[in-house]
Amino acid sequence: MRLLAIAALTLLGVSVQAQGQLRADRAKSTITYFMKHALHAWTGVSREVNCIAETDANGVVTKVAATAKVKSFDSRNSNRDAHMLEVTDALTHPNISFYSKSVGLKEGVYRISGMLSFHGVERPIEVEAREERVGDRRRFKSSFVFLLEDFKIARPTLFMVKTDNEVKVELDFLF
Amino acid sequence: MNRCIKALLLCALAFHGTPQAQEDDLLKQLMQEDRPDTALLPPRIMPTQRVLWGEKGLLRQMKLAPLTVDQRKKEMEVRRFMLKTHQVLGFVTLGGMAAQAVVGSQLYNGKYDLYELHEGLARGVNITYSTAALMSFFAPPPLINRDRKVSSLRLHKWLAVLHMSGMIATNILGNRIEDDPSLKSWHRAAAITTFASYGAAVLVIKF
Repeated sequence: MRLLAIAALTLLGVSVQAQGQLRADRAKSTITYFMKHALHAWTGVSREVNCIAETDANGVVTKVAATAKVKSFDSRNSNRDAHMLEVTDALTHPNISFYSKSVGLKEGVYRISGMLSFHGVERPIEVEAREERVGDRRRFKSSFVFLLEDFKIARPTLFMVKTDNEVKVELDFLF
Repeated sequence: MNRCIKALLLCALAFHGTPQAQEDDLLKQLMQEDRPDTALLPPRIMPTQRVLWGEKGLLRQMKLAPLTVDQRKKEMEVRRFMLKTHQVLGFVTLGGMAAQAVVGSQLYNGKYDLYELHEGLARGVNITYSTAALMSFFAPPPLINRDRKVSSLRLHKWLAVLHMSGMIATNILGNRIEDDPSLKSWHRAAAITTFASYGAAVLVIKF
């Protein structure tokens, strides 16, 4: 009986340990994508990023989730952005989102694995994030690569030539 | 006491046994704060597109295309088809113009047996040019329009004004050459301007 009580208290103790929540500064956080076509390359930036991270008692990030509207990505070419909204079916799937399943910290580098949801398709991804201090604030930078076709997105074409399947993404979140 | 421990254990397992639910909860929290974007049309629409597809456009008034999410999805497919056709016809027209440049200059140098070919090419170019223009003018509007003061799309549109004026002038002058042969050089100048601005309009557009 005593053992059961100890087990229960231990489990409960793990669950309710001190936690904090960090929220990304929307005005200063960005997600940038990099795409290529045979004729040129371009980038699109979202400055409307929503991100929450949970931390343990030591301030170490233990969980993270982020979303951004597909519509918020601006590549400085309205025609291209409108075309991207079509191929990603932004009317049905307006957001791109991520949530972590596990977060580990080793030698100052976070290794985060989680699920990326885009175009109604959810796939596991793994990213590394580095933290730096900006005054009293925390900045996290990360990058990863995904394939459009993995998310069932038909690659846009120009002059009958498809864009590259590979998309690089850079994250820059300030908390 | 026993009950109390059992309740404690159940409570602990409930907290500890659903890490996935907690992660989803973090995302759910973000999603709940999210303000859905309900705008189906961009604030600015090309006047020709507004006539058909604007909030009070003809197709909306006639209830042939009600302004709903499902309808806009269908419109995006129509738009893509029309813009692809615009692109293909644009290339065909440019090819026709290039051929016309060769035939036209030979005709200008006295090879009058090419006159019929020149006329046939002109007819073909006029048809593909007009169809390409209609495909762009009357396509359903995009989901967003962030057109800036200077952008490749804006440049494409400015060049369109130039080559459309050139096309009209080339046709009018061409029809009057029989009555007034002195218009030949003006017809040629208008054709060259049209060809150059049309070629530039094709080149500036980027995905």
